[in-house]
Amino acid sequence: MIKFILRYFPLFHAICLLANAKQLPEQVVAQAAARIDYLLNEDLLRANLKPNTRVDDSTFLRRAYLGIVGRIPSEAEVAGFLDDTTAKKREALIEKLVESPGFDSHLFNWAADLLRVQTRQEQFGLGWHVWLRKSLAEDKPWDSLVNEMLASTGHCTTNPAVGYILRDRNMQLDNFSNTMQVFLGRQIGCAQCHDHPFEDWSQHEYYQMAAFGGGIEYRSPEAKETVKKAVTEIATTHKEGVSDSPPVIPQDKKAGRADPQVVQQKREKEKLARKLGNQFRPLFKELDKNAILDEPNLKLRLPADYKYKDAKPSEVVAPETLFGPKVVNIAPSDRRESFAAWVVSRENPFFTKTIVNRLWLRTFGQALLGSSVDDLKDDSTSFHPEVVKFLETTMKGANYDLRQFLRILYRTQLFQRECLTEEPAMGEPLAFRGPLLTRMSAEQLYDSFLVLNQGEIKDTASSTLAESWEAYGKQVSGLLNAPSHDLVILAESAKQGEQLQRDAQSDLRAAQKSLADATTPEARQKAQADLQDARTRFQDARAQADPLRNKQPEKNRARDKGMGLLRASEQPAPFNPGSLVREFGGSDRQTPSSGNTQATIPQALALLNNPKTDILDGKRSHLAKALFKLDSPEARIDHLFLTLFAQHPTAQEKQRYLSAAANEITLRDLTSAMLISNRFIFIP
Amino acid sequence: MNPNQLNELNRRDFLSRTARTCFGLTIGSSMARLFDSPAYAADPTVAQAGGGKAKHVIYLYMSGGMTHIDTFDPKPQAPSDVRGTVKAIATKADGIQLGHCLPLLANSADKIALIRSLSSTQGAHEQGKYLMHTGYAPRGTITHPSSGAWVSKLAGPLSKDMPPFVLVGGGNRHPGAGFFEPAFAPLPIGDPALGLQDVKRRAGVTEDSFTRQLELRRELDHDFDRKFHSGQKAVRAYDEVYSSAVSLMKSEDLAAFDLSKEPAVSRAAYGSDRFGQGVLLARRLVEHGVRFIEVELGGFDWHADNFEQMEEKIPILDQALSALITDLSARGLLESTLVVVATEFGRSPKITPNAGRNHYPKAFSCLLAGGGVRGGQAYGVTDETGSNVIENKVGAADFNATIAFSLGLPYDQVLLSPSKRPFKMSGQDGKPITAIFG
Repeated sequence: MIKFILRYFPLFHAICLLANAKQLPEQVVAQAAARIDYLLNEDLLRANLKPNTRVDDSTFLRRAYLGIVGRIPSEAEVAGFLDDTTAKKREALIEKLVESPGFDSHLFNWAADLLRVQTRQEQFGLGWHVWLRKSLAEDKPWDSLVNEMLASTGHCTTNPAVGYILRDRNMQLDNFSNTMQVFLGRQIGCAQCHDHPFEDWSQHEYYQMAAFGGGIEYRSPEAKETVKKAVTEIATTHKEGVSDSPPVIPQDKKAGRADPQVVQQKREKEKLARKLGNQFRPLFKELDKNAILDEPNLKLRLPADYKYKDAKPSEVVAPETLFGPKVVNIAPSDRRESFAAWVVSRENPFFTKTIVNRLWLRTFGQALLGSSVDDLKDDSTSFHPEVVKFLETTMKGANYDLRQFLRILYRTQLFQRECLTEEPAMGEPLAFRGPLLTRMSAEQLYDSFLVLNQGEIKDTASSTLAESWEAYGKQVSGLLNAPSHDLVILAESAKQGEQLQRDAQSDLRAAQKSLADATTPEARQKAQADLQDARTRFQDARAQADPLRNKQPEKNRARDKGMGLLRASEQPAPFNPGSLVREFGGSDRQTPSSGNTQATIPQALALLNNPKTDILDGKRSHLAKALFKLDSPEARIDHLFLTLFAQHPTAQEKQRYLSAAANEITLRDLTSAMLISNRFIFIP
Repeated sequence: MNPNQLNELNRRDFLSRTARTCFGLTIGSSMARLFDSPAYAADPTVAQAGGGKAKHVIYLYMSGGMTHIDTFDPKPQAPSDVRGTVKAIATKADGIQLGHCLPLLANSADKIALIRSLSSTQGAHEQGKYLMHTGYAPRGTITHPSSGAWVSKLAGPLSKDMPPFVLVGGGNRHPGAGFFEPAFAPLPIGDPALGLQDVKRRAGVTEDSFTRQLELRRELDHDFDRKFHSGQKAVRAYDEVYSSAVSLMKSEDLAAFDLSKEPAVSRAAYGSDRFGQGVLLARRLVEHGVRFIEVELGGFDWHADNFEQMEEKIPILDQALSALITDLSARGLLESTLVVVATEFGRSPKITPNAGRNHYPKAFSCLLAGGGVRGGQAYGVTDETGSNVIENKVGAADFNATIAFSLGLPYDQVLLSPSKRPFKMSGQDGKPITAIFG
């Protein structure tokens, strides 16, 4: 009977639709996972291969915590699990972790690396970060999430998803190439400059696809509207000669040369409007850096050096999709929506495949389909083609809910198998007898140190960045809704601020120079005072010139206070070069999924010698306090092994390290040795 | 070229790998280095052609695609929608002009060779960077070694403790050692001013404690390593980096990483920014036996405001590069050090409506100096707008072959990947530009 169900698995899609609940029924999840295992095993059997054996509780526990919530379990969590004698404790743990906020944090690190979110990029970076974090936590379906990023328009406070397009401001073609890679697994970047050498992509076809974004301009429609409104209002008031009208005209140098002739009222009004508009520019320039708009009259043209015969250089290209459902003859105002809808369409042959493949790689360590998740081809192969098909159906059935989809992957037997002892050959379809051996990511390592420092960590999201974002939103909305009269004053103040900023800057340089040239202590003192003064003035002027300038969230705020309190996902990213996270391969957020886990000498030095990784030093960490509270060496050894390796020491190990635990210095040496061990940093 | 010597290298590599596999132990890299003899000897014909003089490479990488037409290949006669606000300035080398943001380099132009005829088909950053670094287009089936790893592998180490390959301020996606063993991966330095961090034992950790920690590490990993060491390069890599880290901590050469040992005058000469300090660090590392130092300067991707950005960025390169050439020359190190400036592509000659320039792989420029390269020359020519190479086209593979030639390395020697595919430092068919030597 079971075999029957597995072979002719009832249409998953239908079940999900029937269930129509956010969370899939446990039974459905278990059945889908069993189906995956069944299909995997069939493939292995055909190739005369056997699946790896089931891992022990400790290996499973560590893999589950690091894989699902991105950190090692605390000592209490380990002990609780190992002592649990109920039959389905592994399944129960997966269910618990998938629903916990730690899942959101860990998934965010993955998504932000894939999308290259830079928190401190202008203002939109913060908004995009906060939006993405929240959207994932709220289980926004992947297709909706992608659709919003590709189709959104306006200022980032109205629509934070515009961060995706703004990420590559003035580099729309690069953004487009990345879109094809990140969401559809297709490499067509080559065709940006010439016909693709190995595939059927011509440069013209590349431009046809890119033409859907041909109307993107990096300006704020909201600012434009506000300025327009204010200008009309002021122009009207001014004409009527209301006495308290703001001193706009006298400040304009050209206003002195008034035309003695009475010119047409209309023309004068236009001129005035332009002047007024220009006056507002400094005030709104920050808005323009954080917004996009779709300009229907703007169209993508071929490059001026286009060399192929199928079209002329600089010719306008009409948008057209080149695989999947045909989208053609689109009204200019609908270009972005149509493209976004096409990308995330269930009929798009690559969208579902790509997200499925990425999540499989994230869970089991290697792509299921093709040699790279970033380079799918029409004929990419898999050792498990039926699994690919089933996962696509599953993803659609789960309505692109990443949490539910991952939950199914975690519930497979594959997730509980011994990992491969040999690294697989690159470029060959892999038979999944077990998952791959992986090293902790930089974020997993960072968050695991939080556990050592704090013991129980709640995993709940912090509101620090969200609050900072909200404050900016208020400032923007204040400006956009300000009465015209206030706008004029603000604009004038901003303009003056710009001048003050320039003055302060040149004073700053002068002071720097005189400091360098200073020969007497007095001269040095004076130069230093000047420098400080210029610096303060510069900061004030900058705030005046740009009233919207948000105080950027502090860089890696937890850096100087040991390993800090906030999880990696709660910090502005990328981390600084030279920081522990970056040393361990944390993403630089330059290219999609640039985080890496390669060994380097500075990593070894950091774990050997850096004070921040010296977890017992000063007895301040949770681990230190717990250890030194225990009197018996046996208990200490046990506590250490549970915390760092998620297992009890073997009898042999207990015997071997007992004397080390008795003495404070040797206990510290043992702890350090455990932290630099492969057993700690790898996830078998 | 003496092919036997390379076979010797391969044999040793094989031996050390197999030995580890058989006995489950790691030969510390310092130990492995004891086996090393100079892995190459200058072939008489190479020497006659002026190659084989360099022992070190300082490779400055301009990330993002440096504009050729505003820097190394100015076109004062081009129309203003190509030329922009750039003026060409005369240099110490007859008939060679540079963009006006490079006045200091102009003064050292008698020591540099401009390569103005680079050309590639990779117009996206990641692919272009990969090609320039490895000589191969990216493939899903293999990671090729970068030129620094090739040089380290082919030339062998110069110092017992120092790593052969150091990468200062490099991006995350650097191909590094590629398919070579982890020992050829670069040692990354994030911030040159901080140098190599954590090189001293923690306060209160005695020599005894330190040694005990390392012994305990081995012991704790015994079962883990037995299971994974032979099959997993990543695991071997960690054993490797711990032994390298420990040798480095004890090394007398450690001071090479410490810029505070450098007089204030020379620190100022290179520029106080991260790149300038990185280049200074590179010179110190050359003096302490590092083969290949790569320093990256990012932020050349000027799709908008090309000319404003140029005024900010190019002076940083100008100062550091000219200071380096002057400094190496004064110390008598220029002949034995090849200085390279490379980038992934140039910028489109026609200025965009945003006053920017887009990616342009068809024609771009790089620079070589020292290491036996004749100064005061420009190799290769582009047309009047810098749009097409019209003389002596050079590909990324040729460029890497030229680096090998300068060091007297067998650029066309085939090494096999673990999957038994053949690869060369000169890519598929790169040929060195021998004409610029001697």
